[in-house]
Amino acid sequence: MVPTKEQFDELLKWLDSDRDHAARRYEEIRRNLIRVFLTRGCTDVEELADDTINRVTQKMPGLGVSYVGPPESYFHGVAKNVIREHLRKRGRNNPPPLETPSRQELEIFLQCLDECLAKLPRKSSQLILQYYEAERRAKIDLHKKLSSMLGVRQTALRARVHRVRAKLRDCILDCLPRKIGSNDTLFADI
Amino acid sequence: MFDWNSKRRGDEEVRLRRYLLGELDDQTMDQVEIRLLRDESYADLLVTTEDNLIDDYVFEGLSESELESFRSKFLVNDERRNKIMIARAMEVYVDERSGHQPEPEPVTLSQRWHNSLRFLQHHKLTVAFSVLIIVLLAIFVPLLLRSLARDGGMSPLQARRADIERRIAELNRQNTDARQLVQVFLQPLVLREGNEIRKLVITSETEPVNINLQLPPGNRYEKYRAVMQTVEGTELFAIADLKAGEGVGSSIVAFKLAADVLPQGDYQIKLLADSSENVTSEVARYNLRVIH
Repeated sequence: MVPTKEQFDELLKWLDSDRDHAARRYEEIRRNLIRVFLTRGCTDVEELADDTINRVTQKMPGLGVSYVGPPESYFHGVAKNVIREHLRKRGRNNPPPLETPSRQELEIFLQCLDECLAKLPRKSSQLILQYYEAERRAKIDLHKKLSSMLGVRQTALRARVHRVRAKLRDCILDCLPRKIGSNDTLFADI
Repeated sequence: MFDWNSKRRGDEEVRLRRYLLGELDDQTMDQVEIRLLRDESYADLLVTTEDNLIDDYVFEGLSESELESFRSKFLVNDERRNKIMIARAMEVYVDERSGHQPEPEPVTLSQRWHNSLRFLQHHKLTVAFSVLIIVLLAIFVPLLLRSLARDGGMSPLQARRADIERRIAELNRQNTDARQLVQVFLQPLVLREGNEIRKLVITSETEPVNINLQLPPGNRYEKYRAVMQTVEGTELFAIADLKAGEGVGSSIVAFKLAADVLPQGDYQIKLLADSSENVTSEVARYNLRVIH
């Protein structure tokens, strides 16, 4: 059942009295629900996020009056039910093992990477290359001896690298389908 | 929104890392997820943590247990697998790049000259400021060094001690009529069984005092040195080149002290003898209480 426009308006009011803020909160909740579903090993995560939001919206306007607590906690409770149903229906699949790809398999990624690095500002491309160069050196020097605390020790540098890397990845993900000639899920194509 | 300081960010990243690897208990997992829904900056940190985890996987920075969790719990969707492929490509890219670094072209002298000129043109303000700093340093550093050399590089305490010793030496060179001075007679500690401490009362009218140190019997050296120290043994100043003289019934070593060099307190005077063979030996100690 699809919620009515009135119910959706009530949902936004429940999220924030300012409609613009409420719309932003709505988008954030949806985006982060998708992250939660991904981490919980679900597929069709966008559909699951929409399903969760619809279930909450259908409780309006009563929910806005009766529920005490932050809306996000309620969304989370509903999301957990959705996850349970989804996994029961689909069954828990063990992910296929990930083999180290050959140079040939990576060729198309390397072409896109080269293209996208050239599009980045010089400072950004240098930063990301230096960062990965340092990672490579650490691998050579310590070889599997790096502790799990690596992420913490290098937090500051990694935070700076994060934005550049995200931009680079978006560019590569745009580039890959053009190279492959398909818009399907990339990994499935390779 | 949360105020991320680096320590807290580090702690949260560890927690998110464990969340991504499916290592958290149900309750903590719920807490993390509710916070993800409520706080966009926390969600951003999750994405960063995910990227870092992938880098650690590709660059072999995961522990054995993390690697197991990574394979069984983290690789659950194609988006993450694509990210891994991109990180692998990055690894190969820097690997190949570092193996094919172009040799830097040799720079000729005229190129160096032009590069220098270009640098000066582009950094006029910086260069002017640097020159100014160098000129100021050239002027002030020698002045500072000279001033330090004048003080002999002494600490304030050392300088004060030197000043007191200079004044006392000057005072002892003057021919003052000893009868006009306050006379203080001190006996060596070994001879004073009663341990009664001699008191010296200094008023605003007190002129220099004449300290008379009674020598132990049979003690006669060419030169003596009196070291004024606290009862805890901290040396305050010394009076050198003292000679023994005849007192009433025994030999004494006498010297003058300016009244203001002795603040109120208990003192001990250590009398040392300097023999002609440059051997210093302790002769006696004397206690003195100064009251203002």
